[in-house]
Amino acid sequence: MNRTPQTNQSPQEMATADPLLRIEDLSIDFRLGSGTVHAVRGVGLDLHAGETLAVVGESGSGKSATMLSVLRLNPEPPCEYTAGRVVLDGRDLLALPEKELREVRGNDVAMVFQDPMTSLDPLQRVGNQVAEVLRRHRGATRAEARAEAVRALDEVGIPEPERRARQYPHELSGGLRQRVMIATALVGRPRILIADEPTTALDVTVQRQILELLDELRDRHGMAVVLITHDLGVVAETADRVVVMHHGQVVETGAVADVFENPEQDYTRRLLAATPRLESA
Amino acid sequence: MTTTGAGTATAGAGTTLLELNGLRKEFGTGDAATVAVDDISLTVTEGETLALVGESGSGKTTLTRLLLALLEPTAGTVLLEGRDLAALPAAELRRARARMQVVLQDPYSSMNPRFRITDVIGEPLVTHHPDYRGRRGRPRLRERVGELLTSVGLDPALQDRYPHEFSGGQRQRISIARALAPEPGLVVLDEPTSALDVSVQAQVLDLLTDLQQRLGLTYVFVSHNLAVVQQIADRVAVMRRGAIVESGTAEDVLKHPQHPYTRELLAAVPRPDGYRTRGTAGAR
Amino acid sequence: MTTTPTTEPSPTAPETVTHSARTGALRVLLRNRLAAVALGVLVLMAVAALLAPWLAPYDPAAQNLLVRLKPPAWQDGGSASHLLGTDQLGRDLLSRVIHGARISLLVGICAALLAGVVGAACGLFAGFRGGRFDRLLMRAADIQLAFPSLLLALAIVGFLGSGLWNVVLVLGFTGWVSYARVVRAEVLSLRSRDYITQARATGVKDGTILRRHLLPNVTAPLATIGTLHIAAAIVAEASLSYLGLGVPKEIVTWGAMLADGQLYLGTAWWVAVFPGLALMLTSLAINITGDALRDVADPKAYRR
Repeated sequence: MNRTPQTNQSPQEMATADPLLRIEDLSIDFRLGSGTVHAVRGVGLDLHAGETLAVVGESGSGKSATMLSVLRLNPEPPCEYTAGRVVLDGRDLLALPEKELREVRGNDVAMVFQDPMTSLDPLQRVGNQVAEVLRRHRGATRAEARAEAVRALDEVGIPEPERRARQYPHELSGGLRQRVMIATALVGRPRILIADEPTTALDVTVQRQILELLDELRDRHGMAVVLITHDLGVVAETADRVVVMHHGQVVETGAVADVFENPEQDYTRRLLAATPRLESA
Repeated sequence: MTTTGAGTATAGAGTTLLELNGLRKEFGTGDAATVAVDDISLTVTEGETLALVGESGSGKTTLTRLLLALLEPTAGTVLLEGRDLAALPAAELRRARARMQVVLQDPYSSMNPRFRITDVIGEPLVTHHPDYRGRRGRPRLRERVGELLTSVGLDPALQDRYPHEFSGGQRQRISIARALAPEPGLVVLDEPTSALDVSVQAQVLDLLTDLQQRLGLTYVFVSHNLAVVQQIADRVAVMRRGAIVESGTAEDVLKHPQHPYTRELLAAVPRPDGYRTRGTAGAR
Repeated sequence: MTTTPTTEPSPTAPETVTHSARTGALRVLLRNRLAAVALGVLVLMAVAALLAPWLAPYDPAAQNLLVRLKPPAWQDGGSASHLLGTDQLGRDLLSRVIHGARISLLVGICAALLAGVVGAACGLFAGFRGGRFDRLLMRAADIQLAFPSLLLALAIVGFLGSGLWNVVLVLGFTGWVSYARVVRAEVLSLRSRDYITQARATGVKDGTILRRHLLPNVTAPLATIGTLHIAAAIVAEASLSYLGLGVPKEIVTWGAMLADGQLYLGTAWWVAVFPGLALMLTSLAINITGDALRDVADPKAYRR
């Protein structure tokens, strides 16, 4: 592991700025019946306001466990945080009581998952689901929340938001469902959006639209976006910086162009070589 | 069929292995009927790899089920080695199935969890050759399964294990071994690497290429991943809403796309060198 | 492309496959202490039923009017020669309870087997083939479920006449629905599995797919319902016998004993309570075993 956290900041203005979120020396174990799995081993990374950071790795690399720890969403047990800190605004989120952590969830940090079908309530109209979050976070009245929900659906590019708000998740396409998830994540105006494989289940044309939407929303709200993915193409097209993980450790981090042009680590090189490339004329 | 690419039917000079003529499949009846496959004609030549490309809802899955004779077409015919599959008597059709095998996407649901690997891979053998059946055929079956495991790069001693003891990539190798067991001419590969990590995907694709060269196999490769398709396919057919919008050699279709939909698909593929061209809004 | 970044992890340790599936299931079952006790009770009952003529101290039909309605041995007026006391005709209750086990278990097991075979066959076929047969069968099941099964049994016994095998037949044919439903649901979910598609694509015959891929996957739910059904059939036989519509008077059954004892509940409680206890204990033990069977239904549970 080289390119230490001091040198992996975004190339431009943020070289001196304090990070928005810092993960220090994080270790996570999963205690399973058959033994203990050291899923994350001494991971450190910084996230700056306004950037897109890609956390990339294959299955079992610990990329999801690392980022889920920010909201302490790994199931405990079997998960156990054995070392390290996750620092946001000078507070260690891993040491926060559950009640205060709930404040962080949705307000400061929000998440979007791979499969919107399992994150959305199949029995509730999507408008209500967005409104529900609003009422919880901002104490909005029912009518306010409903109007705001339609606005939120509009913002994430859902056509005919009023009609769509009255529909159920199964009536929407995969792409629209993912947009609803993003709207739900954004209503709390989070400073950090963590997207775990948000486009893996989608068709390529829809994937492109969702990635563009995330880009646009990041710029408009000045959020930091963490993109957890296994697809180096997605990384190359959307991220400013990249953290490559393998077997629970950070292998390499740096600006996307640097890492892709001059990978320092053997694993990164092999990963890049294994990624199929589409040649055009 | 609106074929815009050059040379749809006869790209290779070899013999035709599979021929689809005016294939159509509707689900439901009357006003409620939906057309899943709409008048598709295709030929697959011996030894080549034809890729079927499309997004969800394009009808590519229905098309593979039709050409495997798992669904009955509403209209049109499927000819395998010149024989109309729909016209074959049941017993003949069963025998013909040995000539075409399938590898499915999900390496976890494609094997009976109660079967040992010997029986997973041995199923087509036991089905088609009496020699492998029963206690008497067991030693012969084990020997053949061992050979097949070796040919896909796995240890023959693993045949006593159960599927859940293997990783996704290993299971996909086992699926390939099973498909090879009855020595088929045609193998339908239905998104065989979509569920795998990139490094494992690369290994499985290498294995498929290698097997094709060694055994003279013909592949119908179904995928939504154009980069993978470019790597493995000789010819490409792009599907949308049940029809083929463009087909031709991989070089033609992927590098000089004619149809707007093909162009849109190609443009949407995220490229590992995408950071170079981001320039404008993306790089900030 | 020839690069191979990661070597795939090798499969887990080989010791996992050395145990046979069957002994493994039994081990898992016994790990559940309550289930172990229940299984013990069942084994005891089975032994009692099989060896009844040798175990029972008296002929269950032998009357001795000199010792009518004797209380159990530990009560005042009881004697060690009749451990559980005697009934209104001076017959030894212990001997009658032991002999009663034969009929109860025989009727229960036979009825469950019959219903299981009929129900599983219907469910397998309906689920795998679908179509008209499926619709017809499920409609029949709905109609049958709308009838209280005991009432139906009463009607049929009334029609066929009573008798041991008629009771078995009736309880068997009124019980098929739950098997058929569970098996059908299981088959429907299995039918779309990739390995079934794969088997069909490779030319495996339907019968072979049913036998090799589907049946093994429904045996666990079948066994679970089966045990529950044995308990239900035993109680149902007792109810029929209690109502005088079960097996003929000459054959000792717990249900008939209950009916006899009912008249003396105020003065000689033991006549009704002991067959009742035996009935309750047996059906409870079977139910607990059935529940525990559900836990071992997962193939991974005993191969790990």
